[in-house]
Parts: sequence; structure tokens; C-alpha cells
Amino acid sequence: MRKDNKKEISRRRFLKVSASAAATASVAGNTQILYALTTKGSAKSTGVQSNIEKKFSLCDMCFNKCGLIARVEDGIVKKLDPNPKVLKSRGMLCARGNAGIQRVYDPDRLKYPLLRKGARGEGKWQRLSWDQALDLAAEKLEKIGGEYTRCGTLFMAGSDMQSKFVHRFAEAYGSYNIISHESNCLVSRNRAFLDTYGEMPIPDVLNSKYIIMPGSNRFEALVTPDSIDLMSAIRKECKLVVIDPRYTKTAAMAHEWYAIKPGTDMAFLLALMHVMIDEKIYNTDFVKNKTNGFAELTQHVKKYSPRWAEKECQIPAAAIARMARELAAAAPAAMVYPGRRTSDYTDSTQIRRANAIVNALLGNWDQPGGFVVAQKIHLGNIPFEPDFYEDNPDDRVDVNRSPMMFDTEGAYKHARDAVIEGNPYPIKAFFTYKTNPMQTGANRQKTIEMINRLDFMLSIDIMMSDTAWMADLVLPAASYLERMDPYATQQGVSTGPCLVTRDPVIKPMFESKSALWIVRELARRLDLGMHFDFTMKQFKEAQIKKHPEAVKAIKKDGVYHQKSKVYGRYDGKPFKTLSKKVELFSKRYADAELDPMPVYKRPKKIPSGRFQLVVGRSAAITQGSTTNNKLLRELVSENELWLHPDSAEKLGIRNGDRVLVSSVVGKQKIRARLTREIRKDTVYMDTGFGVLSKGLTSVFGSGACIAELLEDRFDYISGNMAMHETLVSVRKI
Amino acid sequence: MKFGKFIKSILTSIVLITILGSSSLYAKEGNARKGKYLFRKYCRECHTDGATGDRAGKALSPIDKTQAEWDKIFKSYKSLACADQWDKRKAKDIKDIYAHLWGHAFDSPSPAKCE
Amino acid sequence: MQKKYAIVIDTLNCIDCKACLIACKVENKVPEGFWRNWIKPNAIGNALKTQYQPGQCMQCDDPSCVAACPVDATFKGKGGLVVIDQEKCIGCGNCVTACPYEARYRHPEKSVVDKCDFCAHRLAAGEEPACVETCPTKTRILGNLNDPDSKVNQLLKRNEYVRITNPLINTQPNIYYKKETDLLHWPKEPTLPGGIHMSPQFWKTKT
Repeated sequence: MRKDNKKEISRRRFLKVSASAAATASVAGNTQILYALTTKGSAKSTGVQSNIEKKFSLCDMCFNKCGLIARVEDGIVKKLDPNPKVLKSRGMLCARGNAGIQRVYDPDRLKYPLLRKGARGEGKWQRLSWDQALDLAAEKLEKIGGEYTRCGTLFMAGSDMQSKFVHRFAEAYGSYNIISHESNCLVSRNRAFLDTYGEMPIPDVLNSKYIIMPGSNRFEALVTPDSIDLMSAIRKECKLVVIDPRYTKTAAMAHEWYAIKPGTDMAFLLALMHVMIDEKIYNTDFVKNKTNGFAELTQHVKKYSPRWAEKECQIPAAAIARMARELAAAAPAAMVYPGRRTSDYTDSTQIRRANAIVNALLGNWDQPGGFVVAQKIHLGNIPFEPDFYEDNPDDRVDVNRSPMMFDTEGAYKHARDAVIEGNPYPIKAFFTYKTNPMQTGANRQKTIEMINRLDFMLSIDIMMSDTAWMADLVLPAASYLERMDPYATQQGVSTGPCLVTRDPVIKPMFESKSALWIVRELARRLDLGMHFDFTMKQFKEAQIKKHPEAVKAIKKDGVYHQKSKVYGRYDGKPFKTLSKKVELFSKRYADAELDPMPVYKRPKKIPSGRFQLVVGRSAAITQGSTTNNKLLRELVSENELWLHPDSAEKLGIRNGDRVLVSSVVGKQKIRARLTREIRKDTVYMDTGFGVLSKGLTSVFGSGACIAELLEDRFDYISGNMAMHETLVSVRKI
Repeated sequence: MKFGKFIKSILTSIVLITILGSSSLYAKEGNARKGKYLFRKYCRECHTDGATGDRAGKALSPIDKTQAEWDKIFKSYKSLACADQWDKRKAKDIKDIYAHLWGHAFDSPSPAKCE
Repeated sequence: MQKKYAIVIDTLNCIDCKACLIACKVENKVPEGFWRNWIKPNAIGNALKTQYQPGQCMQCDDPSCVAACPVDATFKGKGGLVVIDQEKCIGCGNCVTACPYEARYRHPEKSVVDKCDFCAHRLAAGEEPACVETCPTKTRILGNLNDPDSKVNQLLKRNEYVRITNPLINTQPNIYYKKETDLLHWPKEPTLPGGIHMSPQFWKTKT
């Protein structure tokens, strides 16, 4: 009887949805969407069945923020499905997105404020009330501000829609020592493209006919829409060439794969330029009208022939020359993919400058299948006018260590060194929100050393991450499905920009609170309440005031797409560079006594018996933030050391053996995975394992921590961490 | 009293004109960190989205202009509708604000939006 | 006309991200250590993989699992789906070893057998199976074979497809793979628990 009743309702719903199915049919190639997008609460069923609601939200299992629809039954989230109306995420949710349920209902979630009782990292905690915790935090911040100036507190917030409120708090409090996660990730790429084009473009993978991916792994390090578009593109007529010391899943799907010698990408890129210029197959119009420094570049790349490059990077000269010709023939719908995480080498910015310059020769700027200009949808703000503290030092703590560090991102590596050295001034407090440098910042021992110099460390997080584990005060944050977030712009590339947001899907569990609530409460206690005199709802109203149509669209579809021109936005417009053109030759670099054009430097030789350790991604892991997730642990329960069988044989290591991996900064034990999917001189392991936090009960005890092994070199231009400069030895235990 | 103000404003202009001869030097002299706070305090009241009143101006962030454009504005601020507001500021404050705007201009190495 | 569901799989689209595995696991509350669906690489050991082949219960038209069930707890149901009546199931496990695709498992707590049913509850609600919907590259396409205009029929008309079967016993599966698919002969011969082989006739449900 009950069953029949359910069927009846289902059929009615089905009829309703069929009508609207056509509207969503063309989202992502062959996506077939059968069901409707019900607005909040409207899918409630009647009668004795459970109360089912479908609510829009955005995933938070990595930085992508893919659109999702949460199925909520009697107030419990039962399933997360993709929201096909969010064109940026192309109607998909990956394994992590699907496992988001486990993040919300993980028994290891932080439930209430905790105060450290034992030694740092010992794991003895005392439960505090929110009032006690906030009073204590405010008292510490006040005291440290008085003794060491307001800049004596370092703030670090991860990629999150509420991080802006942590930044606002930092500024209201009076510190300009705010760093992001990005200097452990991608600032060198942004640096290079900004210095070449005046802004960071987004690649139009979907419409490209020829893509070379040096070091990017889009089918595992998922980026929406690029990853999905890449498959759509290569299934049409796009050729994909992967350049990577590892045989990644992207390499597996590629038309060609070259196991390049690590650290020599620039040689390959310079040789591409050499061939294009030598054979005059570059885009002459674009180069003549839109670039600056072509004559210098022509001279510069003369010596970088494919024959020369072959010796450096071990890609056959003929293949390099052919790729240059094929790229040029497919241009402007062709690209050397810019990549994302570029925290690899000490000349990482210059490597990406080389990447940017090859693309300039293709003239793919602002063209279908080339680079698209990112578009902002202008949002309002609630401005604030905090006081300046006259006793503050002149500048950030991490300045003058890299000539072109982004002021808005800072550099984790430099800030950490500065704290350890107490130079140029002491930092005595560390405030983190949803970021985990203990796992993502190379050289974990140095992070511990930094933390040991502090008088006070506060971490706001969902779980007891390794970073929270080191803190004095840990505050439980509401997860993405439990809170209201501001509006944000997303780039759908060929589908244009869109606005997205989050409304709570369920009520916050336990005593968890949103970041805005936490910093507002702290601000009040520090007499800074006037800078947070608004609710999230009011903030959102201020943001969206000029876009009433967006409010309606978001209510209906969970997203608002702005109709706007995607290509040809630069027609007749100057580039945002000093020369107003694409800078093949960078005067800014020349003035700063940096190489104005990328100069190849041979990486140090890998001595026999040692291996170059490289960092990479799995589609089931977002560093330390997902490895404790029980659903995802069924896919990857521990990391393994990828080791070529020939290299392993010399060391007497068999598949599955436990091995000791040693670098100059640390040692880790891990199981070996013998595979031909890696060069003989290179080893790899996933990030996010070997945790110290016993608060992560599922992952604790499994795998090894790559951050413990990685040396903390840095890109000398941007200050980005350089994580591929580490040599390790491996021996059987 | 009035005369004193007048002299002060003339002095401010002279200081500006003299120093803006070499703009990057000027940027180094000013305290860009403080300039950010001062900009928000003194300029943003009008130069923000949704500003009201007869003085409501266009929203402004360092990134909205190139370094050359900021130079121009600071050299010829007298022609701006809000010149009287400029005259109220100490020369040092204006230096600081300039250092912030110029240092994070559109074509600067670290362009920034003022949140 | 009665519906007959089938899934068409473009193996070359699969990037082995395993979204379908977790989507299924959450949607169907599949217990830890068990799966209703899979992705098989086309190479093992040291050889380089170039393809990933997703799959799940093939809702066969001549299902050996149905032939193996002593209590008629599993049978061809609505939409051509092979269903399990968990009230009737005695958990003997005959069907588990009878399936050439190893698509069935015995639920560790409920002691009844479970497998993919193309998310029949979602189909009834007008939704696609969780694995189909969540897939980044839309590797699986679901449709009604009895509807000549359905997407699956259009795909089957336009391209060449193969079915993956055991060479000895063709259970007539309803999952179609793009013809470029490697690894066609991995299904095992159906057996009864304990590795007992039966004559091909034993596994037939149709005469």
C-alpha cells in the first residue's frame, strides 16, 4: 500500500519533469538530464513518506565549487547529485563530491571549541564553551597586539567562500600579515601570465584542436570545466600531448605521452619557440601587432634548437619540431595548457613565462580554443574603514625575499622563515581558517618549528587537521552544507561567467559555527564590532543589489549565468602590461634584474641511487582534507611510493615492500608500488597521508607524509614553494 | 585661519608636484600599508558602490587605474571635484595613499582591489 | 509497451575517476568493502593502461543468476531489470557465483544478496541512475530499448557496439560497449558455490 502510494507520486513528478528536461539537454555534450530542478522545498512529498527536500548548494571537497543538489530526508542529507544547470561544472560531481556526505557526518568532526592542555601535538584537549573560547582568543590577540604590534599575528585562510571575512577581520584587527594557500600552489603561474599578458587567462579547452599539457594532469587533478572539456575535445578532433615524468591517467588518455626529464620543461618550450620562429609558422599578425620584444626573442631562442632540447629534456628532437608545426597549424585553436599547481621548481615563474610566450606565438589570445579572458560579475560590498596602528612595522613580514611576491597572497615559505628567524620582526600568533600547511607546505619540520615559536595559535576547521592538531585553540567550523555563504563568480570558460552561492542545506551540527560568526564574535570582544555590523544575509543583499535577476535565477536553478561575449573581448583594447602589448620581453623583469626572457638552467644531475620526488594528484584526494573520509578511503586507503621496477630491482625492492624514503629534511616509511608509470629516476606519492593528528581516526597510521620529505625551496621570483627540487634515497626496511 | 588653510593647501600642492617628478621614488617614500587604511578612511566614503549624497563618486580601487593614470591624478588633483577634500589631508597622508594606489595599480606587479 | 532499460557505455570516455562508484555506494547504501559497480583497467601488472571499462549488473535477458536461484527470489522484473526480492532471498549465494560478471555480493549484515538495479527507485522517480548522472564525462547513457527514438537506440544505430560475455555462456547482457573497447572476455564461467561447474543448459532461463 505504501509502495503504491509512493509510485503514484513518483509518476506525477516524472511527468512534471519531462517537460523541463529539454531545457537542460545540452549542458555537457551528451548529458541526458531527466529530472527537474526543483526549487527549495518544492519537492516535498506528502502523506506518510519521509519529508524529502532538494536543495541547491556548491561542493566544497576541493576548490572547484561544482554545483550540486542535496537530497534531504527528514533533515538528513542522503545524497548529493550534480546540478546540471551550473554550466561551469558541466553537470558532474566527482568521487569526492559524492563523498561530501561523509564530510558532514564524519564522527571525527570537531564538535565544540577545544583548548590545548598538554604539550603541542600531544593531543590533550579541554572542551570550552564558545564564550570561554572567544574570550580567551580575544584576550590573547589583544595582548600579543600590544606587545608585538597588530602585525605580530599571521593570518592564513584557505580557499573558502568565507575566507574573505577572515581577511576582513585581520585588517580590522590591524595586521597586514595575511597569507593564502596559493603560494603553496599556483602563484608562479599567475605571476608569469600576469607579467606576459597583464592578466591570468582561462583556457578554452573545449574548442581547442591541439593541446600540449606539460606537467598538468587534468583527468586526475580535476578542474571544472577543463577536465570535462578535455574529454569532449579529444573525443572530437583535438589532439592531446602529455609531457610528464609520470604516466598519469591524462597520459593514458593522450594521443602522445613523453616522459620528460623532471625540471626541463623550459627546454622543451624554448625549442617549440625556436621551431615556430625559425620556420616562420607563428601568428605573424598577432606577433607584429600585439606583442612586444619579438626581435629580442628571436635572438634569444636561436640557441634553443630541438636537437639541443632533446639532450636536456629527453624528448626526441623530431617530435618537438613536429609538435611545434602541429600546434602552429591548429592555431589559434591550440594551446600549451597553462596548468594550475606550479609549485615545482626554483624557476617556476620563468618556466610558465616560457609557456605563456609559446601561446603568444600561436596568437590564441581571446580566441575560441585558445585563451579566454576571465570575466567578473561585479558584486557589491559592505565597505569598512578600520584604523591604522601607528606602531605597526612598515611592511609585511615576508617581504624582500622574492622580488615579485603577490601582496594579496603572500608567501607561506617566506612567512614561515620570517617567523622562525624573528626577522624582520617577531610574529607570535598564528590564526588559520580551513587551511592545512602542515600537509601542503613542503618541509613539515619547519612548519612545526614555526609553530613552536608562537605564543598563541588558533585554528578554525571542520576536522582536527594536522594544523589544528598543533594549535592552542581549535574552533569547530560549520561545513559547506550547513551555512550560508556569500555570492561568488565562477568561470564557465566557453559558457561565460556565472554567479553562485550557498544557502544552508541542514542546520549546523554540534556546536559548529560559520567563519563569519566566529570573526564577528571575536571582533566584538576586541571593540571592532563595527566592522562586522551585518548578517550574512545583509552582506549578500549588498553584494547582489545590482543583480535582482540573479536572485531569481539562483532561487530557481541554483545559478545565474550572465550572457556576455566570451571571445573577442580584447578587440581594439590594449593589454594590461607596461608596453600595452603581450610582453615576450619583460621590461619589468629587466628593471628588476631578472631575466627578461626565460633562460634555461639545467637542473642538477640526479646521482645514481637517488630519485627526484615529484608531487601530483589523485582524483579521489584533495590533499589532507579528504584522506580521512571513509568513503574515499575505500578508493585510496594509503599512499604508495611509485617506483620503476628496474630501479626497484637494483635496490632489492619488490612490489608491496615497506621502504624508507629519506631526503635531507626528513624520512618516511611507505609501501612501494612497482610500476612502469614513472621514470626510472623519479618517484611519486600522493599528498595527504602520514598524518600526525590522532583526531583523524580513519587515516591516522596510514601512508607517508610527502611534506615531511619535501625540501622547501622556492621560486625566486614569486616566492611560490618549489616542491620538485627534492632528491630522495629509497631502501627496503 | 582661512589664510593658514590656504597656505597649507598650496604647500601640499608644491610638495606633491615636487615629489611626483619621480613617481616610483615617491611611492617608496609613502607608507603603502598605511595608505590602504587612509584610502579607505578618507576616499572610500564617496568612492564606493552605492555611495549616497551629492559627493557620491565612482567606486575606486588601486587596480582601476594604471600607474601613469594614478600619477596624473595626483599631479592634477586640483581639477577634481573633491579637491577640497584633498586639501584637508596632510601631505604625508596623501603620500601614503599614493604609495598604496600606485603600488597596486592595474599595471603594477601586484594589482589589488580594495575590499 | 513495457520498458526495457539498457546502458550504452563509451569506454573511451572513462577517466577512472570513480565518481560512479561513490555515487552508487551512497545512493544504495552499499556496505564498506562491497560495490555494486566497477571500473576495470585494460592492463594489469606492469603494462600501461590505456582504457578503463566501467560496468555493473548487465540486467541480462537470459540471466544465469536467475537460473541459479532455488527460491525464485531473483527474476526479470519491470523494465527488464533483474531484481532481487530480499524478503524471499535466503542468502544461499548461488546467484553470486552464478553471475559471470561478479556483479552480486552477499550483504554482510542483512545476509541477503544485493546488486545494481539501475537505481530502480530513481528511475521510478524520473531520475537517472546515480552512476549515470554523476559521471563527469557521461560515459554511461541509459535508455529504453523498446523506444525506437530513445538515446540508446539512436546510439546503437549510429555506432558499432559489442557486448561483453563469457565465451561459453552468453547471458545476453543489456550493457553495450563501444566497439573499440578492449578486454571483452573477462567474464567467468558461472558456477555454483564451491566452484561446481554445470552444463551450459543449466544456466538457461529460456528454452
